[in-house]
Amino acid sequence: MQPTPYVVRRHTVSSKIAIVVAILLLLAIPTMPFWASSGHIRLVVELSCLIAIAQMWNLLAGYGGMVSVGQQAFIGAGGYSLFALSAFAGLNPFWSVPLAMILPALLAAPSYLLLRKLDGPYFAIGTWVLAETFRLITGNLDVLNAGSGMTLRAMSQFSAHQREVGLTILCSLLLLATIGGTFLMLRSRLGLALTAMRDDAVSAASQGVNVGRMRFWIFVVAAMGTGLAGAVYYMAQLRISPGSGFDPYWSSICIFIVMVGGIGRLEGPIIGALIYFFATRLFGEYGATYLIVLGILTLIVALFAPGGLWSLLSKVRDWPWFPVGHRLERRAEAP
Amino acid sequence: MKWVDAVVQGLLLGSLYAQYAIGMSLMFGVMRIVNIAHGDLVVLLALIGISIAAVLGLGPGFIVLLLVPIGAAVGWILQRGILNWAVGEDPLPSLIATFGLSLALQNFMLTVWQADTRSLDAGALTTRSVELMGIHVGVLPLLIAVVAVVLTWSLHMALKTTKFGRALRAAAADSVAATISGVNTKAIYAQATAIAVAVLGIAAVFQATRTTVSPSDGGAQLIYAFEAVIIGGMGSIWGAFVGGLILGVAQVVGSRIDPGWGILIGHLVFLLVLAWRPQGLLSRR
Amino acid sequence: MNAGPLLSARGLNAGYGDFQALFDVDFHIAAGEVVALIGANGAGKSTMLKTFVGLVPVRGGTVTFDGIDVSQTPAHALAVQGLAMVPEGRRLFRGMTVEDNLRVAADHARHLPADDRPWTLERLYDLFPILAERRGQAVEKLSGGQQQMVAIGRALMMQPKVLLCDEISLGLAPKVIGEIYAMLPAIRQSGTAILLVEQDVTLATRSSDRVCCLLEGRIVLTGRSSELSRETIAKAYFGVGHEVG
Repeated sequence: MQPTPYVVRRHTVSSKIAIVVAILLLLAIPTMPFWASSGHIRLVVELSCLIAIAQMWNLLAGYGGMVSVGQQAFIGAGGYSLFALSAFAGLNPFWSVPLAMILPALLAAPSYLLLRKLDGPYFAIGTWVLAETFRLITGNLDVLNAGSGMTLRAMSQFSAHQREVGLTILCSLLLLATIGGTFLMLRSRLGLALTAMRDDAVSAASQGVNVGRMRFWIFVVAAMGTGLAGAVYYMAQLRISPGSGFDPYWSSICIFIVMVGGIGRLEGPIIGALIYFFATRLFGEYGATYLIVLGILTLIVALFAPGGLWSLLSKVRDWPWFPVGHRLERRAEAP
Repeated sequence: MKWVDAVVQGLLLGSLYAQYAIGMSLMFGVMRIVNIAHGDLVVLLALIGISIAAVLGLGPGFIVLLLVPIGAAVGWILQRGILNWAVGEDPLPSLIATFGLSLALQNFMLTVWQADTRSLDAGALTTRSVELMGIHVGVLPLLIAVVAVVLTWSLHMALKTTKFGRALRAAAADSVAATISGVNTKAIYAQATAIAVAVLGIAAVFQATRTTVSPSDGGAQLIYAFEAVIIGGMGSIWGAFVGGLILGVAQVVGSRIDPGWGILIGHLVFLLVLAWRPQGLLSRR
Repeated sequence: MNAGPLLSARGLNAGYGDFQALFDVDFHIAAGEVVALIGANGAGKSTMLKTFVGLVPVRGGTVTFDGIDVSQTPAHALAVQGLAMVPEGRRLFRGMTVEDNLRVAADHARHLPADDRPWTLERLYDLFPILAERRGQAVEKLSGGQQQMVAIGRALMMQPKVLLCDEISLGLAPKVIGEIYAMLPAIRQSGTAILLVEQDVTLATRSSDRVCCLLEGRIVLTGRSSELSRETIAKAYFGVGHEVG
């Protein structure tokens, strides 16, 4: 029997390059305290948090089919967990960051069960109500200093350099967990189910995918990832308040980043985050006008280019960074 | 007596929420579109009304007469210009699109009107009150309640008995079948949105006379409208009305228990209804 | 009164997206005529009806209705001009009563010349007495056959010049199918032309004046129903002697 002339490959040239670059970057970030300025380190931390939060929103909306305008609920929950664990349990804040994922998970489970009865767009507003509920409760709890917010005093026991080392390591871990975790998940059989669900939930269900249960887990995992990012972000800020941690503007950022970058693909949120990040650095001074432009761009992309920048680019050249698909290639001819 | 008073005040507040909610119910029930900028439209119309009043020196009565056609025009343009591109099976585009619109609109209003809070002077109407069965009820809140009932009843009857109402319900049930039965669905949607936003024009005047208005208020109004629709039951205009009343009562009673808790209690009642009877209180399902 | 065809197509090409469904179709139907459209699944019968009614875009060729080129006319306007369809699967307005379903069509009906006898609710209830009993009920509560009657009634309320019926026998018991098809002569008597898409070839030839057979988007046979033999029809239907590709 002749071997078939075709072979199934997962990697492409572009994806091999991209993976190598990604690993190098992840290893490079924790070295920054030794050669980069504090200002640059703060920028990298902020960018990493944006990418992580956006990836989680992408997981929810692009793969789970659940649009949320209330992820700030978990950003605040993650941030406050960190501050509370540090202030009341006396734990080392760096170790508290991973622990800060617990509260978001615990909040996400009942939240999903409540909200799943709502139709798509109403589900979205429901997530916003949830975020507002958390904000109001937090703002009313005197133990958390109510509306004034909390400070991460425990960090003062570390030198600036030590804080930066800890923060950058956490940054890399954050990116590894969110991007890396999603990538590995998508490559697996779970990923096939997820992609099927993304493309057509009813058909996926008919093929045996338990859509309800998957959505539940996606919601919880996304909440955990978002909470982790929130903890890292507010660790860098050293201060948190209900108005900031639960700010609805977080959702505006997520939506802009994922829609403009490209929903339903891993590459999209990274591109979108870079665009948002640099655009805000360059045009943020224009305040309200800049935000008008962001809003209009989101509107236009949603109506006329719903796949975002990545899908437009893919039409020109298909160079994926993350090899989640399978390709059929001609086997090289035997000599 | 204190609690009866709280409930009455709550019903009156709730009838304003009902005015926000019936427009939202109409748009979602018919077109399966939730307009995230719904609350921002109320604020926009209120600010326009306040500015016109300041420039032309008109009273609230005249402002209402102006805002209804202005609201209708805004709604019509919104539908034809933006939302018609998003009507279809997938609710995601209209959700994200109106989310972007909301962000842009809020900041546009901030640019034009600044962050100051403003209100509309209704003169004597704001302070007059009548006594009903031992409770002091403000004339303005009472007017809001009466208007809410009239609007809800009118909309309900229009949907049930008029040619427009039938065409709208048909387009909502099956837009292709409606098209081959002669209904111009795009035009019908634009008319429905025009009506929904015209109603918001009336609500906007009431909101502006009752309290102060600022450009970032939109989000809260959207949430109240949404909670009212869900509590009462989707697909029902009277449901949206009743849901608004319940929400109003929850908020006022909550604020009497503790001033910081009013809105939170409203959210909790909403979550309770969601847990216990998610199809809504008035729904037949 | 126009003596020529009421509805005709010349070199019609139509399709959805990247897919072309109809190739170079020539067709005509005159007032009071009943034409049956037959063919295997996917041959393009439904698509042809949908193209006539304006739901599928015309890519090439023309569709002429009552002497006017309607290739680019929007669907709702065509309906008002008198081109009514009973769609596949009935597609009634759920949540609305029988009478409301009929009224929606009546609200947008064609304007009739003064001496034409219009289809009214009364006339309809005469034709389908069971609907009079159930006029206030929500349509989803009716049986399949009754729903089909409502669907036909809804199309008739548009005062159509041409009635397009897409698989009205689908999912119905034989007795019910018989009852429904027995209505057709009454409808044709008003001068309405009827174009039927029908899976059952025997039923199609028995109920029509002419038969048109489609294969892969092309018309491969047309002729008087009484004159075509079963063999001729079978050959056209299955494409024996027809080149594939």
